[in-house]
Amino acid sequence: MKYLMKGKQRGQLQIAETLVAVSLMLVLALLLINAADQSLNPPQSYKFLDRTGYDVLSTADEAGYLRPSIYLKSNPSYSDEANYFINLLDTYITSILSDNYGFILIAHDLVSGVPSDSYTTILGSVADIAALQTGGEGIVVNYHLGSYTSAEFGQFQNGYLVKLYIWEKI
Amino acid sequence: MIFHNINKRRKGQMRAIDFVVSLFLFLLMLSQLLLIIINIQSSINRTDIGTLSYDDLDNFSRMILQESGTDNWGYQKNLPTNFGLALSHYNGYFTLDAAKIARLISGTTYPISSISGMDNFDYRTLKEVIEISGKREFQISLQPSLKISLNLESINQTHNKVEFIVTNSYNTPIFRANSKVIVVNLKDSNLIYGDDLFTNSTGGSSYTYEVPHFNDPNGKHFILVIAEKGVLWGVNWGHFSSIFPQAIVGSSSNITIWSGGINSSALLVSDTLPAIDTPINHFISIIYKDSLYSYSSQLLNLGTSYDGNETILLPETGLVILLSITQYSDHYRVGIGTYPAILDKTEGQGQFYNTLGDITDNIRVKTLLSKNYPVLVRGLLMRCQITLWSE
Repeated sequence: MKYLMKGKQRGQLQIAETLVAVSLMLVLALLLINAADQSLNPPQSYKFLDRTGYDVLSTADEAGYLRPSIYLKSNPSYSDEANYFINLLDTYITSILSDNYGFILIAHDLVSGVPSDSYTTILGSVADIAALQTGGEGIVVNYHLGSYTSAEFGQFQNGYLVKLYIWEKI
Repeated sequence: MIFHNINKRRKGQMRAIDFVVSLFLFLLMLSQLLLIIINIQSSINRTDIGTLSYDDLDNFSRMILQESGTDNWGYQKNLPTNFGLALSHYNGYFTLDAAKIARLISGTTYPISSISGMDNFDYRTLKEVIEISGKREFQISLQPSLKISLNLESINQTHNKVEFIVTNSYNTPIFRANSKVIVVNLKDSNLIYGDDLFTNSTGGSSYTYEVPHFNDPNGKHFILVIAEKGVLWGVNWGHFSSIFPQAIVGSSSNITIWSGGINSSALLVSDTLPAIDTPINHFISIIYKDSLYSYSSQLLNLGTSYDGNETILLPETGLVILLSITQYSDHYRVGIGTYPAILDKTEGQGQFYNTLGDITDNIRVKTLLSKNYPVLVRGLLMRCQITLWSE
């Protein structure tokens, strides 16, 4: 009987040892995963990109060529003028962002202050949009435009929600 | 007996379970402790070894670009307690103070007197003010959006041709950029403005001009080209190598011309000549360009004075190009500057000012990050590139 009891206790100890071994392996695995995560995927924050995207849009707006780009694009009679401003905007955004970032700029109409589902692509090709869909991580910057009054082009009452998508090319 | 055995068995089971649970808890705690140690070590490395993230760079850059700091930064006799280049920061865009940038380049306060207790407000002093660690270094460059590359060609004895290409910072050609070639005639210290030119689809354009005083050995000149497309602009200068050694233009002349003593619209033009002979003639030529593709200029005759300090009131916006033209018995020296300042990263022909801070070859750079910021200076759109690295 004593022999049997000792055998049972031995069995329990073996189970305990197995559990300890499994625990150790788990801990080791956790440590390895953590180390691999640290080395392969360094913590990436796009806060800086978010702020830069906003800087780009607000500075372009202050410099006076964001609004013409958006408002004239929606008016076919000003297509040449729109292209002129959009070209400036493209050159400027390109000069600010590093070439390892892709970007597209779209504008949603505001209907009673609410952005509509439809949008106009201001900057960016189909290839860019495809790259956005299949590309790496990125951010979207929202920028609201109110009415626009220009001595040259007249008054535009409708508002826009401008969205600048920036992503890291892979 | 049976009860006794059962109790003993239960006690044994309890001991085994206790042992397993306590060991598991111990291991769990140990693993957490290890993780914490790893994280602490990682953060120590970040500060000591100098691993940088883009968030670090962005926070640092915004400290450099902020508007806080004394209004008369660098204009007082005391060291500023904090530092910022902006005149204002509103709704995401930075408007930089052209006067602060000019003072930073010259390393001196208004007009040329040094800050109390030191000879220059230099890069090292700035590092102390912003309390950046000794292992970290930075560089600030400030450039327009458009680049102009020049090629000068002699057609014959009387005429030269300047060909230029206007691109953006990624060398994409800029089509229909409004451009102007200005010939700076050193003998008379006058400016000859060329026609309005527009770049073609490859960003190129050319201009043929008559060589001023082509039959006179003292008839030296060089070229300025300004291009603009809406709010985007660029400027460059160039000359034939044949003007050496009779004329030295740019940083090689050892003439420092700087501006902006009081504020962004009150221009103090000040130049310092190299300690050689007294000049025969000393002119300061100022080209003012507003945003309407129009130019005006002003010539200050300083005679044989060794250096000059002139205050000129200007509109609050626009580009100003400053030339300090000095004539000595056997050669000319010309210092070139702009207001707002252009801080170039590359040296050589066409350079305006050196960047603030320099990545030298003899340091061991562990991490280097760079980021561009859109800024407005005197209403002009510019690109401020801030680079941060650790040794």
